[in-house]
Amino acid sequence: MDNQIVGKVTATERQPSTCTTVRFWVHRDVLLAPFDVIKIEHIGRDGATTFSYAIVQELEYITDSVGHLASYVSSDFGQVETVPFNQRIGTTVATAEVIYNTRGVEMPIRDGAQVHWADADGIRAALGMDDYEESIPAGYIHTSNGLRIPVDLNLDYLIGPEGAHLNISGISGLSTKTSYAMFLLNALQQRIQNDVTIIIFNVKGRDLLSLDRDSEQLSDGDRQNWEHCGLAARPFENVRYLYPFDGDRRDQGYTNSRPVPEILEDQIGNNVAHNYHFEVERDIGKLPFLFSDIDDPGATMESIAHEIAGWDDVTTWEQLREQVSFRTQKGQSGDKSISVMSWRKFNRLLRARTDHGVFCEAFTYGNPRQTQLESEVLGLTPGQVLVIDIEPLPDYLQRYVVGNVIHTVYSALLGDIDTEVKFRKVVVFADELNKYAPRSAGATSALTQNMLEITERGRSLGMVLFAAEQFRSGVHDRVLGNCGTNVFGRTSPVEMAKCPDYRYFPRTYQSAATRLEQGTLLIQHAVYKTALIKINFPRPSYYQPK
Amino acid sequence: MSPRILDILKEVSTDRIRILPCERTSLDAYLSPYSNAHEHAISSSFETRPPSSGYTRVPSSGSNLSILTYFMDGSRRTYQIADIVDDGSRYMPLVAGQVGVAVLKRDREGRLSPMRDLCDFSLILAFPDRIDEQALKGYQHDIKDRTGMSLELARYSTRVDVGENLLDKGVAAIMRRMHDAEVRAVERLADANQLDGYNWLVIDGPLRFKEMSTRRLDVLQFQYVLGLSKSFRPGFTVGRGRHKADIGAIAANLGFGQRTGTFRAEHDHNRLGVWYLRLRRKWQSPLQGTVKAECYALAKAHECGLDSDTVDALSSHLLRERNVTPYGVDPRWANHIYPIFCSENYVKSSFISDASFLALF
Repeated sequence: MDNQIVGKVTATERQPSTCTTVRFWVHRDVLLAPFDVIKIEHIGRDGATTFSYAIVQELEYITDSVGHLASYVSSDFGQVETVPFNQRIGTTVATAEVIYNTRGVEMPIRDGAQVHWADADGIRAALGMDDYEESIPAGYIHTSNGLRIPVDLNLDYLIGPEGAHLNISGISGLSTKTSYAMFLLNALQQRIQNDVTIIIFNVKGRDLLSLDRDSEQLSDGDRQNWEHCGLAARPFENVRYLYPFDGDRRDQGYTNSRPVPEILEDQIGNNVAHNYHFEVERDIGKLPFLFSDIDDPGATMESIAHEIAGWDDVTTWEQLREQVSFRTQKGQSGDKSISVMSWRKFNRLLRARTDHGVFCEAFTYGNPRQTQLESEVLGLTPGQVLVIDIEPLPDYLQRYVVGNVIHTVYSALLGDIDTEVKFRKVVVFADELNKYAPRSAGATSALTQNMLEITERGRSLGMVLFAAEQFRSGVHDRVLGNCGTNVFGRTSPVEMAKCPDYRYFPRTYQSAATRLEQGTLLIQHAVYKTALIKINFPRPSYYQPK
Repeated sequence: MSPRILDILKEVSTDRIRILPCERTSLDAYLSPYSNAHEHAISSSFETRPPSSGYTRVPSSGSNLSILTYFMDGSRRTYQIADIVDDGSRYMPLVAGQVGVAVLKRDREGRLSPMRDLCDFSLILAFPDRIDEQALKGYQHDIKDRTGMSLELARYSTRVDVGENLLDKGVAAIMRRMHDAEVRAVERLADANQLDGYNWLVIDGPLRFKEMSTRRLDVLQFQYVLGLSKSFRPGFTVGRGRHKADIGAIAANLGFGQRTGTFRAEHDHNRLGVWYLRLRRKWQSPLQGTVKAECYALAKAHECGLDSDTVDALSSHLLRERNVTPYGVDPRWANHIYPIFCSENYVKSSFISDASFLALF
């Protein structure tokens, strides 16, 4: 099957072969598809035969008809019922991007060269996967000739030190973005459990609140798909869950999170579920994250936040609110650089945004599972997975939690915090990245600045961001630009027109991106020898409540 | 790098002959595309049930399978590549050419594919007959030896009548090779029993086959061969007595799907039946879309004329050949049938380019 000739190279005056592009006509019985990798005979040094590999980008069917009018005339001038004896001469012509040669020959491929199906080893070598020192399974490729080939990501370029960060974009509703992120994180845990700590923010529903429970939906075929990737179809291990604290919900586990009650009971019984809160003494310095969505061109909010960070005498959130309120009155002595009007604005926002159960003091309500978020994060160990539920929180509090956690991890890795930490490499997964690093924000918001810091310098420290969003066009350019791996799920043509990153897609790939099925993605990885490949990945192996 | 053929000829030719350079030109414009000389003399009605009005509507073929299975076209490219001076007295052209004959077969799905065994492509060099056969054999051997090329060498007569010239004679010698290749292809098809009443061969142009260079033409092998001409001289007169008329006038009156009655024609001691058929509705000129078809009248038909049912059947299948068309590619599209157009393209695309061919010399 692999040696079957699928077509022959055609190089013409108008459409010559080049170092990077080759065209071939396709045997009429062969079914090819974009993203198929094919093998082509080529010249080599001293008369040797080499093989080039190319990835199909476009398929066109051409005939000798010079125009549509000729086809119209060929049907008795528009008689639709005409059945001609003759079939017009026609063939499918494939355009493919040359990505690899077995002997490094870069000469354009000659006219008439035979084109074959590529085998699994050839495809992996062509994509550059045969020389990774350490790799992480990324899914598998389905080829048109029925092969299913596992593909990998180079670990050095996924979580550093050479490159890092992963971005996944695509419309919501297909469960593909989050599922793929979980697949990769699961693969990381299975392959390098003792080296990596994982922090996951749950932003939607209950999907990520039972990561350590077996899936009830996996078929034998699904399990085989996991095995085909070199992984076991098992849920995450060593997972802790943090739910936002709400003292008013004693009978609901002190939280307004919505995990399945039986699962929450199990988690409580296993001592892996806790309720996080923020204490003013430890979190007062992170207040800028609470206002990261507020337009602050004069940086007055930031200035106030900085000033407040130095108030050592404040021990409760209520004290803080009172002191800030005090500054809103006229005739204050001391620093006049911040106007009363600014204090009043800050006061209004502070009162509104800290009016939530997570802003409280330790053990206020006698809940033994109440925990301070920063200390939970600093206490993480390698191999551990921390799921932080932010789904019930309003947007500004979600930003605060994400900013708070990321700042804590980053500061700890930088050595800016006195506490000694055990984790060395931390991967943070955050959905809805556009909230935390929006394209429109510039670099003024504290949270965006933090995100830029992480994506630009985090990989050398061991901090890696796996992020997802519905619309790539809504995310800060520099954050995206620093991602060594980009994954594209199904998207809309409107988003493609808006987002410049899709412009380098060949036309067929653009079209394919609007039709990707559940479980299918396009992936671009720093060390792949082609811009994009199409992959499938196994169904999630953890329990997903309906 | 192989030496040029003319350099080899200069080296090996005797002192009696001098090969002189000339401006290398294509001779294909030399011959008129369809000269009157190629028209068969056409006389009386020649079929078993001649239509009373002189023309008749072709019945529907009723089948999606055609009885026209094979399609053949021959083509040539000729060039004057040098001049030869013989004994200092005669100045004669040295003519080179490429000839090709292609036979395509159509399968039941309507797909065309070449029958490679029957396709024939040759490179020919035509010398004046003042150079003897023995010398030509020597040239051929030397060329093969020095370049590895198998070049056919031919001779043309240097006797020139009024209105003739040596270039035409040289081209005709090359054409003769093409003619022979066409006849050989028909014979091989017939010998292999591939031609029968359900599998006819259509040849582009009139059936003007003559005796071959080396042996007699066996016209019985052409029983299931149909000649199809895209063009004909409208002023050509057919019929006898009061039925005498120019074919242009008759064809202009043909409606879509109508054919004329069959006329008898003689050529080179052989008898043919010839008729005209309108393939397409009237378009721009009255003759556009009208083709000339002809078959050898063999056995019983030699005396009684072609069987009208056979002529109708062939006509109805020819009529179905009107789709698809090379509209926009070939100015003769309305009179062309697609399989012949493809045969023509196949032959022409198999030729060496003009520049490459001339570079051999």
